[in-house]
Amino acid sequence: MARRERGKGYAGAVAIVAGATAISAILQRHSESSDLTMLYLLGVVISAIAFGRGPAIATALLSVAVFDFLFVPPRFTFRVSEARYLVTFVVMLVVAVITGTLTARLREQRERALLRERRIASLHRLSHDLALRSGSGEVLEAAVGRIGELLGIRAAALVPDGRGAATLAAGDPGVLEADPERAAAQWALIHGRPIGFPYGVPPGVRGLHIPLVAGTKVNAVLSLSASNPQALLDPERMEMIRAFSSLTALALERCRLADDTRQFQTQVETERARSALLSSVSHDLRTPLAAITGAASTLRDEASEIGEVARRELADTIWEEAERLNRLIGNLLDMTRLESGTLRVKKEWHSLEEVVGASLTRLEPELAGREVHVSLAPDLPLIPMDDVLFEQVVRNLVENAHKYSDARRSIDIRAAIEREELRLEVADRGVGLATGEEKRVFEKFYRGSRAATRPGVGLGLAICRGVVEAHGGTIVAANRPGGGSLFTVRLPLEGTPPPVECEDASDPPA
Amino acid sequence: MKDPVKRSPGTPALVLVIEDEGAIRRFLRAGLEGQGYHCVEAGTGGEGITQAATRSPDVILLDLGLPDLDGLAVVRRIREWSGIPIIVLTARGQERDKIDALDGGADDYVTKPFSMPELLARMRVALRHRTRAGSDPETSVLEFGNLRIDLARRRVSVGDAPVQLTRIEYRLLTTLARHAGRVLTHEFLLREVWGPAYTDQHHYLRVYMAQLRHKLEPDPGRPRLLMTETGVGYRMAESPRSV
Repeated sequence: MARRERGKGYAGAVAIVAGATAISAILQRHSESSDLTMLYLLGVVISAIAFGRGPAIATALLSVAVFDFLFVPPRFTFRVSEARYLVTFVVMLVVAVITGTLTARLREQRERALLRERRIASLHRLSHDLALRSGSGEVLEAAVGRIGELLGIRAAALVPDGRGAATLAAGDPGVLEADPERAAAQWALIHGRPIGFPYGVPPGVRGLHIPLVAGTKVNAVLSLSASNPQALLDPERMEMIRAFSSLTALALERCRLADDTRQFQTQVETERARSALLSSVSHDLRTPLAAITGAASTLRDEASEIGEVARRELADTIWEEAERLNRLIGNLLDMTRLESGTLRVKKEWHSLEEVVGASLTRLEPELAGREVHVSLAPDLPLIPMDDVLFEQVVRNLVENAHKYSDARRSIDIRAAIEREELRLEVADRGVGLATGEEKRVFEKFYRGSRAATRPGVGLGLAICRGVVEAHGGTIVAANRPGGGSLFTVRLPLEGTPPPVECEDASDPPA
Repeated sequence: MKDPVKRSPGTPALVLVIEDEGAIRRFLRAGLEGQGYHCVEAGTGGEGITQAATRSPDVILLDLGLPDLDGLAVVRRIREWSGIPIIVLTARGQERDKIDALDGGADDYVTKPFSMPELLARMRVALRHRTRAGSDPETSVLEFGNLRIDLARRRVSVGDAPVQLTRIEYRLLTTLARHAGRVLTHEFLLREVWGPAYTDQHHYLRVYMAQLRHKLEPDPGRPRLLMTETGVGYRMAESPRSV
């Protein structure tokens, strides 16, 4: 490449001399020979600027020779009749050397500046690129890609696996095909020092392996391999590689810290959820158990003289508290099934009227005659849903409304089709939601700030959300205009229900 | 309610309880004997089948979660030679097991935890159907509150008002009414009303049940008569549930 460039320079020198000669040939009738030397000098300067020092000197030498041969008497010989032409020759040579050297230096400086600029630009691009990545895998992928592309070499990144062995995380696996390369990468990972061709070569290693270090920890190893290992020795490239690897190391460390923080947060949250679960579950299990144990022990104590009314009350207590336990355990099981993903939604075409009706029938003992106003659009089609699960959603929502509102006000259930979706609303005139609670009420074990006085663990709405989402729908809570809370479930309709063969409506029973 | 069906005048009905949990057996025995039934207990499926054959009980209460045999297998074994009413005791969330047991020949189910009155109501229905099975099937008029079904004349009325039903609506209603108090699975109803080719067309039932409710129930959104057993089937209430 460089050789061809140089060849081009000398060819240019010849061309310039030829040009100067052509112009001189035209001008010689009207000009002094000293004017013609100026033309040749101009050629030397142009050559120096365009091609550098060597071609400039070549231009000067060639110019002297041609000028002597063609224009200095005796013409067409290299002999010189007048001494002053010798001075001209020397001046031409000196000018050529000086301008050539100066312009060549300028050129070098410009080239170096350009190179630096390119390097800074690519570093900038890399750091920008790395800043956008959130995982260490992505960071390594981006770094390896950029480095390989910019330096025209093959690159790979390795990270320690569970037992500390270097394993490929990104890049070209070919870099580590040979055993010595893998061993060198492993060495770099363990010792945290670069190893490879430019750093004293272990036998057989042709690549370069740079540990990406943060503090004392080696997060990864960058392995580079060029088809010509000498190329890695170029100081410019080495500097570039060093800059790249320290950028990558920084980005990697940032990811690791972010991961750590995230993991820590998750751990804290899991821990918090677990202890919330334990405390609320043990409280909610113990309270009914205590009531049952107490009531039962009173009933079985032969010494106590309790009347028929008290006996009945105790039996009622046992019954009600056992029901409560049953519901709690049911909710816990459902939540577990939802979270473990073992809950399977079996969708069939169902009538919402029927599902709502079944929920209300099931809740009758609890609602104890409370007014529930159901208003379903008359043209509701069959809706794809899992009836068992969705009945529970309706039940939990109504139960929730019942629990947190005045029993004298009605609970309202409305449903209609809206933009290819079923919209089901359950609303009450109760205490409503505190600001910012609209999302939190669906978190498990979250008890609304206004719910503390009522029994419950905070699973009912979490189960609703789980089931609705498993159906591909959404559920939101809001304060109802005019007071109370409003829960809205939306379910996708997913096509039209299958047809039902028609009978003649006037057909009498036969 | 205090008068269980007698096997023959003066002899209380005999109940076979097949259940491995001692605590459940204990309260069943106490509750049943308190109502005038006699109890025989079996702790395993194998023992239950033997007892069913040797003691010829009037009704069997069968837990589906037995240690030795699948409850469903016990239902099938007993059904090979006997039509004794079987009520299965199941846990929550086992809709598939309930359906399988019902389609396998069980008469009804209760879900644990259940109340004694609930169980007794199911047992009475099962026993009544057994005694009715022998007698004249053409009990010509069935009444449920103010719903009147005249089977001989194929007339249906609510109060004094006659109700026009389509052929299929009528067939669905009479199928439910003939088994009043018992849960009928979707498959059973589809087979009885539409025919064996329709047993997986559950949406037919949803559409026709809605139509029937709109014609017969004062508030179809909160049925009192045509009850849904979610995930399993439908049940016609023996007498309309009070509002």
